[in-house]
Amino acid sequence: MTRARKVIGAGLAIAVVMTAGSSLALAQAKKKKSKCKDGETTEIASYDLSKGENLDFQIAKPLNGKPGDAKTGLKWMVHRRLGNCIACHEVSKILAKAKPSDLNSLKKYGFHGKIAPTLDGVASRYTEGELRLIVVNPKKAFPDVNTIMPSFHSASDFHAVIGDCKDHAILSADRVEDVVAYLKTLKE
Amino acid sequence: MNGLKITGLAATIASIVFAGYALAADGKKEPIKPAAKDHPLDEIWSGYHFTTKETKAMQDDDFANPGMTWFDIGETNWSKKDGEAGKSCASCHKPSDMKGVAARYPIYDDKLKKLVNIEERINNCRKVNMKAKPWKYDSNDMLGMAIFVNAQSRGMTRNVKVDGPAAEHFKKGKEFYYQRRGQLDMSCAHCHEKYYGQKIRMNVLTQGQSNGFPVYRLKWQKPGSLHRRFKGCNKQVRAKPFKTGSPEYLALELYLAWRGNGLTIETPAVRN
Ligand code: HEC
Ligand code: HEC
Repeated sequence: MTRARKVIGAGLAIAVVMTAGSSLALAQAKKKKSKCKDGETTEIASYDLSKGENLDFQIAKPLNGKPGDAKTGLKWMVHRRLGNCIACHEVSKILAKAKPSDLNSLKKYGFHGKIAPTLDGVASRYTEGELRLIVVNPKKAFPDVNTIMPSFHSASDFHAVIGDCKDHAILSADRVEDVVAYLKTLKE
Repeated sequence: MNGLKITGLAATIASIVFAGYALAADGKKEPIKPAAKDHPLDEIWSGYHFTTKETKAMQDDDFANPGMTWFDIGETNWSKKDGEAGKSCASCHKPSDMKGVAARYPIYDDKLKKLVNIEERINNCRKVNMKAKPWKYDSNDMLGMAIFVNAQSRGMTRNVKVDGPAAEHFKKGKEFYYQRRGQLDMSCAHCHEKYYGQKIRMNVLTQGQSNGFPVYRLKWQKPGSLHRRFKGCNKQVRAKPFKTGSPEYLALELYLAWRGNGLTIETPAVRN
């Protein structure tokens, strides 16, 4: 296994460059970003479940008592740390906003994952209250599929949550409403 | 005409050079059927299968594989004396004694009364036999030695034992694997069993197999230990990571190795 590769003396030089590069990365990583608290409350609002049309349950009323804003909702949907819905769902309307240079990158509207159903036409499949429940707690909305979709406004029974995320929801009540407002625009 | 001759010559040289040593970290190109009846997967695939053409080419050619720089570090350290006993690995072993180790580790060690993976074994040899300081999992020295040792088993079939005293650790590892955790509330199985082969934003999910570790990750510009990968996967769902070498991660490593029984060892594999 002692190989002729030693002819390539560049090997070590490459290693030195790489070490320098990674210590830089390390210094940057030390400026620790909080994954969860970003200046807004992420407390969990209480809400009532009622009977749904297409699902067993729904949350009929806005979590914060007022309707959200669809344009702001789009912002949370593509945000990598907050909604990041497009990590799993394709949405034609969002993809259409991507510049050609976005399409192979994580930039804003680019690159959608495909493990989940497309959200195109989702407002024709579910009522507003059902969409709200799906975002708040998809485990309650789809109880039979052991869903991978995160509960964006719930933290009950969670296991081993990292320090600053503990007891916090991913999306605040306001943000949930913004997302729901955007989902309502996805009609077939 | 001249150009042709030169190409021909280069090809000859290349074939001489390449014939000289054992196979590269060649990735498995076919899936295998799991041997265990209660295995959760229908087909077992190495992470190699899901990488790009360019990454595969890098792994398949030792000259292009950036992880081989650490193989050299390991090879150098192998015969370097260290510690108060004035010994090196070479005082007790030949590199060829390491053949097959990666295929059967982690194992339950009766004397130490715990699960031992390659890194723990290396550190235990350093402590007991060399009276030398332990290495951190992701130090260049440890990565180098773990790659050097595991690469001796390249092409061999993984076959870890999970019965006897290993059984209770296997069970714990399995529980860890299926436990939802973190603010995103996902288990390993969500990503690596239910959706492998599919895209989650930029990443194509693999089965999360461990047969190529320590792997050289292009994103890290460095090889990384399996336990570093565990920490990364825990943190990306915003779950508390465990320490490298912790009983939790050792049990998870054993369970994961069992999920990949039948795969060949590819260390140092190259991943995106
Ligand atoms: C990690 C993956 C993942 C993320 C992130 C995710 N989802 Fe989902 N979502 C799913 C999956 C998978 C389903 C289908 C249910 C199942 O099989 O688990 C689903 C279902 C849905 C549905 C119902 C679709 C239908 O046609 O039945 C809606 C609506 C939805 N998600 C909205 C969202 C929104 C809005 C976000 C972000 C705020 C989001 N999802 C983030 C994985 C995800
Ligand atoms: C949110 C999704 C997600 C979860 C949950 C997750 N992983 Fe991963 N994992 C990834 C991604 C993305 C990668 C990089 C691409 C790949 O190899 O799948 C990865 C890579 C890996 C690899 C490297 C595979 C290789 O060939 O290099 C291992 C091993 C692994 N994961 C194990 C685990 C274990 C064990 C758990 C649970 C503790 C876990 N993962 C949880 C997303 C996840």
